[in-house]
Amino acid sequence: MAVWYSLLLVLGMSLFVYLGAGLLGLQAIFGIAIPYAAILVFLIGFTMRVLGWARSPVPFRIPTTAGQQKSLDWIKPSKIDSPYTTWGVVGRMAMEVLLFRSLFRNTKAEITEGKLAYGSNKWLWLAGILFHYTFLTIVIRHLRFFTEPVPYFVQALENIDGMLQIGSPVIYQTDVILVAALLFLLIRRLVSPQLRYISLPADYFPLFLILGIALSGIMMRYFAIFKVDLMSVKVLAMGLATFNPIVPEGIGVMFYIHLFLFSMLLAYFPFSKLMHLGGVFLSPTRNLPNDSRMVRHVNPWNAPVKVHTYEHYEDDFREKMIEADLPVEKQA
Amino acid sequence: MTNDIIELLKENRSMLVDRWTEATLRTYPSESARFYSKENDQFLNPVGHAMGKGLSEIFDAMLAGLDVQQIRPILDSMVRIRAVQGFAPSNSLAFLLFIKKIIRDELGTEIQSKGLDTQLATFEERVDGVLLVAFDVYAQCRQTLSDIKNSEFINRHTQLLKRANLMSEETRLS
Amino acid sequence: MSQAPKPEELLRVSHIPPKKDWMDPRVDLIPGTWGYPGKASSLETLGLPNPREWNPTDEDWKLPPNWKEIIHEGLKERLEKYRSLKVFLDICVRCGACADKCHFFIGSGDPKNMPVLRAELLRSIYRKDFTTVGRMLGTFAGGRELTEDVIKEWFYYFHQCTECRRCSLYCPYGIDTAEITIVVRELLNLIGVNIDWILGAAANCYRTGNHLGLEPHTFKGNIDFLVDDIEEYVGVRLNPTFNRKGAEVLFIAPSGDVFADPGIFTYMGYLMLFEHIGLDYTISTYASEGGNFGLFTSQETMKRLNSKMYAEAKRLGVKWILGGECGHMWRVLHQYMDTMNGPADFLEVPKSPITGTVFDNAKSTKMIHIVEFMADLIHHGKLKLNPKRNDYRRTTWHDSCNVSRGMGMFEEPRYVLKSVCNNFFEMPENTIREQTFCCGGGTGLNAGEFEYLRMMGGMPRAFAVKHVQEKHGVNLLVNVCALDRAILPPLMDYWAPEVSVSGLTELVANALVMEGEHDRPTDLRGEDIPGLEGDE
Repeated sequence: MAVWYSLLLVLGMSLFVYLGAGLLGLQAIFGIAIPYAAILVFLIGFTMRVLGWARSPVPFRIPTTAGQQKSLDWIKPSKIDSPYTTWGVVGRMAMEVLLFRSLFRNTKAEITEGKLAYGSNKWLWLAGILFHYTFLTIVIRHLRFFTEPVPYFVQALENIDGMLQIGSPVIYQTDVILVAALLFLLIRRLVSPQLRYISLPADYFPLFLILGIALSGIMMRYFAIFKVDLMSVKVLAMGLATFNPIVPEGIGVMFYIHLFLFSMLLAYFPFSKLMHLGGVFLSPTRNLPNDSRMVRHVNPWNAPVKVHTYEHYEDDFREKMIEADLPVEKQA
Repeated sequence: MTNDIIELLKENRSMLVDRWTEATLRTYPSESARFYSKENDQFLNPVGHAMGKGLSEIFDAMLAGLDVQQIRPILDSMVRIRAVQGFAPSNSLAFLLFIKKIIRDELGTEIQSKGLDTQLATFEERVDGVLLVAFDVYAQCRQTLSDIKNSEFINRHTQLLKRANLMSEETRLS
Repeated sequence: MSQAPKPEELLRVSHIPPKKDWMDPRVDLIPGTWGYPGKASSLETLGLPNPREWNPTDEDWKLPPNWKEIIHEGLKERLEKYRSLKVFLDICVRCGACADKCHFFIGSGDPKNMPVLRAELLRSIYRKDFTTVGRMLGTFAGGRELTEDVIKEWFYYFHQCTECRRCSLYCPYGIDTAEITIVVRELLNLIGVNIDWILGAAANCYRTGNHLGLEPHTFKGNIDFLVDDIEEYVGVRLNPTFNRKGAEVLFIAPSGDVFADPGIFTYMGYLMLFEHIGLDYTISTYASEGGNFGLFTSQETMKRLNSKMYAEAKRLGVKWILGGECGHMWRVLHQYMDTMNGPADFLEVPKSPITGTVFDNAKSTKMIHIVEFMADLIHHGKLKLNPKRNDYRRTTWHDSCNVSRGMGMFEEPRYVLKSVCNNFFEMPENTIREQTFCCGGGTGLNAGEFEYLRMMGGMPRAFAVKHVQEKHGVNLLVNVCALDRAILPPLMDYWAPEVSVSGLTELVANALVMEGEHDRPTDLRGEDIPGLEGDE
């Protein structure tokens, strides 16, 4: 059910653009107003969300330790997995953010009794990392629409991406890998009963949405009937980037679908699980050093509590303590 | 009995054991059934591993006609798990009978056409026998649990009971 | 007309579980998997809300009339207090990496025991009540209505989590179900929904200082009995002191070691070790519990119970504190105590009077773990050891969750164990160290009535032990946690009979050559040591 809803929603959005930008000719709305609004929602929403998290304090230092603590001099501590310095934490976070280290941890399960272990988790790590990096590459590649002259690194990235020189126009490897990774992540959710059980519409929707963005982009680039006028696209993009928006005539409707779906992704981002992009940096089990006994961590709301004091305790048990030869503060 | 039915079952061993394991793991919620059947690391998936291994061993044991002493440890490896998983007793052991239906579903026509019905009935008696042994194992597991519960109380209060002279070495051993 | 199935139908239908969406909160309380409710008297001792007699199997749980509001406000307050909670509720992508990492899921096959789902039980309520999208879209956005059934579901499933943090290790964002469980248990406590094993122990600790509620004279008496046993088995008379002012070190152990088998043998070990090295130490009857059942109740209760340690150290004027072998006690000491009840500026940085080693790793908290202390002693050759006395033991090491994933103590105990015992065998790699499996009964789930739950939850641990038992003839499971020492023995009795359980210091003490000892044919349990004479 959740799957169908999400798919229909993305298809519906595309149809909506087809009607609006294609048939009714509301290009100004789809080409200017909606992208600007989406960016605004994204920026404000993202900032608010991160500030919202930051507003709540971290009362305790609770890293999940995944390696040897720093204790005695002759025992080798694990600098990254149980970091006790700032650099250690930076290292741990870098491994986490750039390499998805925790996810990679899953991959140990191996051969028992000659049978090869499935290791589906290894695939999850692989698909996850491929998805994120190809998506990043593609976003950077798109800078060529928003810059003039196009910076060298964007040009270089594009050349590397099309290295294989297959097809005309040259096929970007990232396009292929991105779609493959997305399909893997989607199929995984559908095929595994465990995953299907825990999956919400909010899990399928972003997958379909990004898939929609990718496919509309690919169609524009590789299929003649959907071809759009790239020069006009660049004019529109440069207009958006320089706050001097204009809508050139004759950009194909596929472009508006692509742009609209991406705008929706931006606008949806701050309200969704996609915020893990920002949240991972704030995760107290990862971004704190394991030095709780070396350096005191201060809890800003640490409030006094009612305790059972020694005096009170001795009052309760004084006679019995004296009888048992236990020292007391006050004689009976 | 002649070995014809045994031969037939041997020929189809891996298919039958697979079906049996699958049917048994399906007694768990489908989300876990998948995990139990797919995760191959025996330490990360003790349940699936034990059931898969146990069923294949017990199947061989029935083919070979092993005695009660020999099948007991095999059953133990599976029943011990089922006994603590919150199933009703009938549900804990029903999986052992699944094999009957699986054989009839998969090989029924062949058995009939070869006239092995009587032999099948004899084989099914072995399955029933296995169930009876499993019942013993199950009862013993539950008894162990109940003994454990009693000794747990004693262990947790050892010093107090000793001091109150409520415990002698005999109490602990009994 | 009878609704019951015909006997032959038992084979067909009932074994396939009904397909249920997880959003349906109704639970079956399977006997042996839930705890008896907290007694009114315990709640009154601790001043906790809604003391009453009730039973989880009743339809009516006698919640306060405004319980919904209490939960809502309680959650709101905690969202403002804990960044961990807020972030963890927001960023889970349900990738499923944690799903099969929980020992309760592995053992029980109950899908709501997947860590992601366990957290989702709270997350769904949070979405509905605290997020814009959830408020607007409800179920579609994964939101659920807070009902009494949800409370019952929380009670059931958040007492099927031992806060072992194994899931948090594999989560790409470090989402820690322990944090979620801690908060939900706090919320449940606000409306008086809790279990007696935790509340009773917490109340006892509060009143008398230890979780069985032993009064000072009884506590001392128990240790005197251990001293008698040492005299009998070792031939040395020890004189531990209690509540003595001016001692150098205050020693605090989990109280389970004072009265429970096999923890008492570990306690005998502590006493012998201190005698052997001539440590100037004292034991407090006031701060007589290292463990802290407050961690399983609420942050506030944890702080109240923990406060005794520093207070007593200050009153007695000791220089630093030494802590015994315990798991969750060390989670509290390592990650919470200094923050809650510090700064301990009246104490000195722990320095071993025997080796001169300064424990800089505890320079703020001023409390060190006995295993750190022992490892240092052994490293400096300060203990006279005869490891042959442990030759009849074939040991393996169980890494307790809390000192593993909440502290990172892996090498110290292995070093000590290998120094005092010649036979040591590791369990499979993916079941030890940071990946260790829980004993299945932490966080107050070692109550008698959780018997089936513990057997299921401890199964992954037990099967790894069984493996080394079959492969290497392992007969002793050594660990550094009082709850382990209570929970693992029955687990072994069921899954891997003939494997017994012991604390680390017990093995150290058995190998210690004490000054003035008589012939020692037995171990600290009073059992004959096989094959000892042959080695002489």
